[in-house]
Amino acid sequence: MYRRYGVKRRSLVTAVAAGTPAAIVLASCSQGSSSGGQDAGVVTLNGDRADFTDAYELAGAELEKITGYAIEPRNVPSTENYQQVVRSSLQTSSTTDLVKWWNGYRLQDLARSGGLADLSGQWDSAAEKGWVNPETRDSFSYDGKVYGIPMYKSYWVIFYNRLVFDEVGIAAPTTWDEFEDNNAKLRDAGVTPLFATQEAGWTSSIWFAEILSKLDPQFYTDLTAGEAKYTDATAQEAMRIWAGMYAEGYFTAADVAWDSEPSLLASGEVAQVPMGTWRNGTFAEAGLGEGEYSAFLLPPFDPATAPSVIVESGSISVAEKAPNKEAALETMANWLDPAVQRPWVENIKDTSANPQVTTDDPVLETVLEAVSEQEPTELVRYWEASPPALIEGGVQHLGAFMADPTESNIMPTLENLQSLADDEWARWDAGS
Amino acid sequence: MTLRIIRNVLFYALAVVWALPLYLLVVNALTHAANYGGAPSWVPKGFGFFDNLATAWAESQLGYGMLNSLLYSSASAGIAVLAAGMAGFAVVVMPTKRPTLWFWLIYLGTLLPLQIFLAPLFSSYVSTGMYDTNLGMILIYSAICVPFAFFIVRNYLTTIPPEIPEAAKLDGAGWARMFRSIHLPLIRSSLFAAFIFQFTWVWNDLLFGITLTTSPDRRPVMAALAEIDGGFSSFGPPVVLAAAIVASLPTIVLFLTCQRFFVSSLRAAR
Amino acid sequence: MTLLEKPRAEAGEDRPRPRPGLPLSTRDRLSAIPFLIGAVALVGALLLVPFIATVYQSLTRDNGFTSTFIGFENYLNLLENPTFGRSVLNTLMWTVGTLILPVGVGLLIAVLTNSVPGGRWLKYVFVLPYALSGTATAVIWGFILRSDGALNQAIEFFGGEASTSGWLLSWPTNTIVMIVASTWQATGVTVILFMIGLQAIPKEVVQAGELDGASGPRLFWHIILPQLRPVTVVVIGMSIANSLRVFDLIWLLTKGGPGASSETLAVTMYRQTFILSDYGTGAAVAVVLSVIIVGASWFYLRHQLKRG
Repeated sequence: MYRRYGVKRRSLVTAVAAGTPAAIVLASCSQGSSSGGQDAGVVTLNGDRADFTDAYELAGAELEKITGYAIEPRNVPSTENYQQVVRSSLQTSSTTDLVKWWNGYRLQDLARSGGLADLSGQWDSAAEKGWVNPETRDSFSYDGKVYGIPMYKSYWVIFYNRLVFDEVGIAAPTTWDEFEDNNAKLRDAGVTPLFATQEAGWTSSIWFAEILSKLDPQFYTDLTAGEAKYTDATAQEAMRIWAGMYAEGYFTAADVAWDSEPSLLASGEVAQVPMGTWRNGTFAEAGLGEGEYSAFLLPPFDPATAPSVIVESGSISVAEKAPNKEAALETMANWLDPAVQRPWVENIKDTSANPQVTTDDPVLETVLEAVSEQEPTELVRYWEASPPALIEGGVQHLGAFMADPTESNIMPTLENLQSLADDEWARWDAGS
Repeated sequence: MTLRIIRNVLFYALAVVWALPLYLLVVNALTHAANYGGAPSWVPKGFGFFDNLATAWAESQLGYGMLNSLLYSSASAGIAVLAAGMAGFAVVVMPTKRPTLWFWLIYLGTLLPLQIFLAPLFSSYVSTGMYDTNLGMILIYSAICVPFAFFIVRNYLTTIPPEIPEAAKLDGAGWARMFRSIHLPLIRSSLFAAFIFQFTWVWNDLLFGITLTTSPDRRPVMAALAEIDGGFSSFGPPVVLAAAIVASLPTIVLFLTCQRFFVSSLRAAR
Repeated sequence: MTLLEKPRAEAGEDRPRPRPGLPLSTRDRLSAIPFLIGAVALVGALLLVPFIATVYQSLTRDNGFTSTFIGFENYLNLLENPTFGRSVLNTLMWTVGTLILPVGVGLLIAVLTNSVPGGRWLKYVFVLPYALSGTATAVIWGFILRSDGALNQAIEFFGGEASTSGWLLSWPTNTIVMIVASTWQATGVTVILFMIGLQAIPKEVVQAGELDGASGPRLFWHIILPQLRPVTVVVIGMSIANSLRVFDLIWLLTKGGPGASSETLAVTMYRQTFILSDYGTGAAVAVVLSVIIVGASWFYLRHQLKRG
């Protein structure tokens, strides 16, 4: 035995011994291609979405024609780590020029650290040109100043598999009763009517927000703003509707993988999926051809209630200490230019925050038509509508409810949520 | 006799339990991403392994990642094992003062939760220009690998009879020569065991990879794979699994070849 | 600690080589420094210094941008936090589970490999999962454990009643099944370590035992097991540290949920720091966790090291 392996062992020892110093020499101090010496002709942009890289470059190519600066995207492929990287680098010179972030309270959280540049001028001039809906200014502002420019505009809709709908003989609902009726028919046909999971954490807020906003849009706004209580009658009512739908067997199991959602919709296992239009492209890639899927706005619970739609839009901000700050501000001033937005939204398959930019994607067209027809009130998504710590704790309670969606679990869940809200609003107001 | 039957049945039953997840891994990696229906399948649906792999390869720049990881894993595990071997020698063989204190000082490194290092390391890496460099990655991985390698080597060194170093000392050998020509050959097998464990650890690390690098040409393989994993990507589990199988091949090969090797060398050393 | 040790080590290196006349012991003591410096410098600069920074951070209120010193407030808040108690309990379950399962199964496999027909080849089935990444392991076990997963499919196939509450959805089932998943991956390394240990047992010892009439379980218990002690110390020492720090699999499978029910201390720390951006509380959990790990390791190794 010894002899047989003797040679091999010696060569391995030599390889390790010789390889180690060689590797150190090889490992020069030079930084990687995306963070090395910065080219003066580009602005750097950091984000957590690897799948946006191509789209950033396309938009950057258009921006370069206007401003002379292209976009050099970087990304951290984990949202949690990305947030930490931004927090630890924003106030140092190592920050990227542009930072992808979220609007609403998440933006305020970042803005009040003083790490972001004031974009009020850029916003106002975009608003003057009609490039952005001026009513959305608040959700990109802190203390009256604008700190972010919308990346896209996603409407929260119900995507559905048309083939399944045709087979069961139903159509997209226009009232809540039709919606419930469809669900019953789908369930009886052996199809899971609705996708719902708490698996990805944040996803447990989706149905709570959808049902509550369709029940009473004003209450939804008040609740997320801290002006109403989770224990109020309207919130209880929303939870009862939700629990009732669970009891009817309309939802998928609470631990279904969120990654599987596109495949489940495409294979017809699940008929309807509540999701932001930013996921539109994913459904197409999961094998749903044109005409095989579409989307509708969930109707109000009571036909007398004003229609509403939850809207989400990421934001891009400029770091106060951006190495190439002038160029970054210039880039943001032109981000909403239709020439830039067209290739951008075409690539990410979502709608633009610039109302002048149209889409030729059939599903998005359907959504935009519904929006212009119903003129729903636009509500800020739950995720961005309250202080981040409240949302992150809140989705845990909602996730626990989804694991046990019973009538008797409603009040404990709402009480937990309210006591969390009391704590977190106090902390937020104290500025910590 | 009955004892033997029970023993065999137990062993085979455990083997089946262990093999089933591996089977599911392979079957679902073979399933074509477009045929994946949202739930795992027990039988392959079409043969899409290479298509899945092609998607993963193109989208995550897996090739770059594997080369980087090869550098990080072999260099860091090499450095760590060398440093651990020397430190183990100092603590066990040499008449060092307070060996227990030195032991805990080094071993402490493997007891701390890794996530706490991320924020301080990120800031200091950025300010020293080590962020997104090969050197930075090799250094942190080496540091993390030292304590456990040290633990293995130290324990192995204690099993070497003290007469051996004493005899060498009488021959007038210096410490350096003694380490090189007597102890290094004796502890070689434990050094290899430590090397393989640490190589595997570095290869499979995701946490430091995504935090301390950002460029595709510096990013280790698991960080590259993270770009196609997770809800925002649309490729689906079959692609992730196909990529994971290929990304694990180097460690599997290392395991299968070296395991046999160090077990027999250990026998020979006795 | 490192800050104190470093200058001493450097001073040692700068010293001229000791003259032959110097007493042997002093010269020998100094000559250990070049051997220690590599390991101590790497661990000290890259791991212990950041840890000291974390200890300080645990005494502050820190949101990632600004920090104010608040003393032990973060620690006091932890005591009142109900999630923290659950988290400690789960961590304890993980530690006990990991000490029993991967260590026990690993020892069993290593011992039986040579006597079971085909065992030499079947052992690779136990070793292979160790080479897989955490992500791949989590995807596979997600496949198995979710409500629509392979386990429930198999239960229904054989005519059983699939668990309606979901394997990952209720405590303590979710923690237990994740310990099983972790065992699947972690057993490979214990198998290898125990096999190294078994190979190192001198043949004469076993033969002498056999001559004395020991066989089967008795031979194993009285002759083989004591000989495995050095490697057992490594395996158990490693298991203590790894089980207390367990994070990846939980984060990828349940994110500590539903409703924090499967959180361990490492997950709680990660949530506080990365999700809630409460860096002070996260650091306090980190310090508590570190103290527990160091304490447990010290408690176990204190005697083992002396005997070794």
